[in-house]
Amino acid sequence: MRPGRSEPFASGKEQSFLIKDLRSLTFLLVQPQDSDGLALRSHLERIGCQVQEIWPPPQTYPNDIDIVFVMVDRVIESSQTFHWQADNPSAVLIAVIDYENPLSIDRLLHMRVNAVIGLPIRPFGILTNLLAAVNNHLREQRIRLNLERAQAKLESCRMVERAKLAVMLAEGHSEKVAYAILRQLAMTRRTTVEAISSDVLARLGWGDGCDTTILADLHEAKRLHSAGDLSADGSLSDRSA
Amino acid sequence: MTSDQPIYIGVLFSKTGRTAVTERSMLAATEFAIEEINAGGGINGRMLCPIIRDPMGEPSAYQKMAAELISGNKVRVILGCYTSSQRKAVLSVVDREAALLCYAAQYEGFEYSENIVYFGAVPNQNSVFLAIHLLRNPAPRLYIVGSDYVWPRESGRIMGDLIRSGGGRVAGEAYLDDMAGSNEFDMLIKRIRKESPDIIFNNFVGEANRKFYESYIENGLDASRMMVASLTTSEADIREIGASATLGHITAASYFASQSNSANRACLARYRALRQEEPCANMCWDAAYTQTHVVAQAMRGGDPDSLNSIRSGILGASFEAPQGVIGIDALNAHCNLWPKIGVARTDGQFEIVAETETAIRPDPYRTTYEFDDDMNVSSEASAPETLRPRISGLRQ
Repeated sequence: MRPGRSEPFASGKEQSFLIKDLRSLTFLLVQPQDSDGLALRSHLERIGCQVQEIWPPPQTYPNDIDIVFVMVDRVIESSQTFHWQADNPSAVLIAVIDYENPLSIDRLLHMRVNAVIGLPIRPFGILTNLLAAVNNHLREQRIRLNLERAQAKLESCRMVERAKLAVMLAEGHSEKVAYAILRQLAMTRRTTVEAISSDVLARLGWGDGCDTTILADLHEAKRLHSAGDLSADGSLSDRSA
Repeated sequence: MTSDQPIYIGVLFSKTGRTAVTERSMLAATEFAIEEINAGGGINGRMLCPIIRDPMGEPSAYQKMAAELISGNKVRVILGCYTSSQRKAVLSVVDREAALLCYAAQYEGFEYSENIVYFGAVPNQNSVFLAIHLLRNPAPRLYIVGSDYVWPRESGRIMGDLIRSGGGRVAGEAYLDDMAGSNEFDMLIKRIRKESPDIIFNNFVGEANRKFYESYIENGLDASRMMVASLTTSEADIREIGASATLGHITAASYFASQSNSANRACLARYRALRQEEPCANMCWDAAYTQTHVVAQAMRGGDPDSLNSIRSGILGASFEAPQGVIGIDALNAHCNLWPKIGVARTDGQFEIVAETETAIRPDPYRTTYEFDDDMNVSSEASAPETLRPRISGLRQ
């Protein structure tokens, strides 16, 4: 494509939100109707975006809004409150500001704005700023999701480890056999090793709720395991997944 | 301000340099329009007085001269620039100094400034129209070439998307530096010939364009074997290149001097009478002429010394240009234009083989260019109106 010259800003393979998708986004401008507001709205329409306006700031934001612009200093001047779930934002948040003093910067950081645009509105740079903010927001969401998954995975591993240890101590098995027993139980009950582990811990009194131990299941599993009958099914009444 | 003082207006076109051929024609059109305006009583009795500077093609000179025109000569409006780098250089000045640039060349879009009005085409106007025309050939194979800067690359990207979505293929893509010599053009043409595409989409500009057609001819190619399609090769370029080299190749543009409408014929006749020479009329000539008249029209209708008054007089205005009646979109400050397809003739003029039935609205921030199965440009949620030009008069 570009003989003799490669892309000067090489980046990873990470999937980006591309400029061609921009017109599929829905924008909400939280701003009073004034000339600055009109200038912002006009430029977004010029770019071809779908723009709605609202004033005063609403309590909540509908899910179909992708990007919220808020005129921060107008909110403050008119003694309004801007409600925003900074910890779990429903949209990209872009602040439109005309003060840059320490207090207002502090406020913007608390709001966790994804981008900032200064007043008066200058069209140049808005498009790029916007796309960078959307991409950063999406990346943050992806990272957040991955982190949640990793934490859940970690929790599950810990549970299985403890259940294994419980079986090893109770029955005097090696680690390998203890795990095989748990796995066998999970297969027979058509559930996960993690769920079985949780169950075993609870029944052995290692968990939160100290239920009576039902070691029959364990013995049954052990029996099946040692008999090599790994395809056994339906021998236990609890078929719930 | 007393009412008998002249109104000064800045003019920045290069008489020398790599893009001088087209810019000289833009300068001539501007001078012609100003002569017409003054012959008709000027701006409500005040003469419109051009201050003409020659930046010799250098963006830095455009910038410096624009600053001087604004601060030294107190002009409010500058007519000028041809390439995007020249326009960007002047933009940084007019943005800061509160002046207005009128820009008469087509460009890649993605720009809006309160200090510029754009009279040339953006890609949703000429490129789409050209792609529709090229796709009348079944599954055409395109080789995309051009000068190595933002306009040719964007233009190539857009045409590639259009052609691929319309069932065609891109056989290759190559860009050459402005400094590339005849040898490199020769190598490029040989490489293209090896691929043997149906069409070469040519985005070379200025002198590079001449070198391109020269190498093309030297390698024994002609329009019946491998047609060249362009958005930039105008009557002005053909004067330099030679009509034999461009014979049979096509250009999409908002204006051709051969247009038979009365507004164009009358305009060309007035030019000959007033300036005692044959006009080098082309798409940029038309736009340069038009923007000068549109500025004068806005000055007459309001306060000619106020930038805001001039600007608001331009936005939303319309004018019977040689290409057809144009309008300036009040939201994006670009123009409604009339794309056409011309086939170059032996006399260096174009035979117009297709034209739109209505003016095409500008969509400078359009990002996707694809045809759907019905050969409509796929619509986006809020894209302004339909962007598919309706074709009439396919008189091939």
